[in-house]
Amino acid sequence: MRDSIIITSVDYIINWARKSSLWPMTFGLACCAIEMMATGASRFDWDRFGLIPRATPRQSDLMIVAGTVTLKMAERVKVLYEQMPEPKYVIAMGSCAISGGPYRPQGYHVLKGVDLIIPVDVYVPGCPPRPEALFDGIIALREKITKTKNIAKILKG
Amino acid sequence: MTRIELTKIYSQLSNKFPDAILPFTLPANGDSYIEIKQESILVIASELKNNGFTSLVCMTGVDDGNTFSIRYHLYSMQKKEWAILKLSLSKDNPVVDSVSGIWRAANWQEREIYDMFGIKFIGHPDLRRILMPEDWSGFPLRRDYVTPSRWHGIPV
Repeated sequence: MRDSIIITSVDYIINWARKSSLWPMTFGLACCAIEMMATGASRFDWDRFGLIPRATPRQSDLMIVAGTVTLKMAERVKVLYEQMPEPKYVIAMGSCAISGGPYRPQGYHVLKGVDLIIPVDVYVPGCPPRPEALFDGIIALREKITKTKNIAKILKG
Repeated sequence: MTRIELTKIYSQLSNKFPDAILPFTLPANGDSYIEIKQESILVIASELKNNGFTSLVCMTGVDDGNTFSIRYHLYSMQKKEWAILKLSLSKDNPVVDSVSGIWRAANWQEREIYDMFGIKFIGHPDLRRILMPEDWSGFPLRRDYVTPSRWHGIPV
């Protein structure tokens, strides 16, 4: 009964709802945040995908880690991630968030990749990535959400 | 920007404070600087400030290997002139008088130099780390600095 018509239809609706209203947290760390703001502004307009920035982690589904994660900020990023309700997704935007970028290996103050402290769903390379690249990451995340098997997860316990 | 030559300021200062200033050489390339003794920084700094150098544009520390040194980049808005001071400190006990009482801009600059090199500034109103976490150990821009492997459980 795991892949019955009813379960897959319910999954489809749940996933459709989730992917169509990915609310990102209003949160930027460095220059990548400028490109993220450009993505949200009228020329590219991420409202088309249902991305409405929220000012609090409690209402957010998506965390776009846009920029260099310094060690001081790393602890706060982790707290913010833990404050977000499930289901939650993370996009690591730009070289710094992926691996430390130009600060690897000598940067004494930079976390060498945000995936060392929180799980990352989509990596968007670039320094900084253009808005098209961030959109590519968002679309990849939407595809990932589409494939989630929610009911099967619940039945498995 | 044209090359900064400080022969005039040097001769003025060395006439007034012959003991405070080390001999001057014009470097083959790059900007010249006036090298002063560590203990005379406050005297020279207030003299320059009274002569129009009201702006401390930049202040940096350097690890020269055997010594630390600090450079002060001063600018005079009235004369449209630059002055660069340099002083050397021993590595065993890097302590120097704070100029934050003379130029307010020195406050954060000195905190940054303290943060990166561990140079202590006597008379500074609030000498704390400014960039690194407050409980960080070591001074990152020293040549013998070893990066700790973890900080608060986070791999560095």
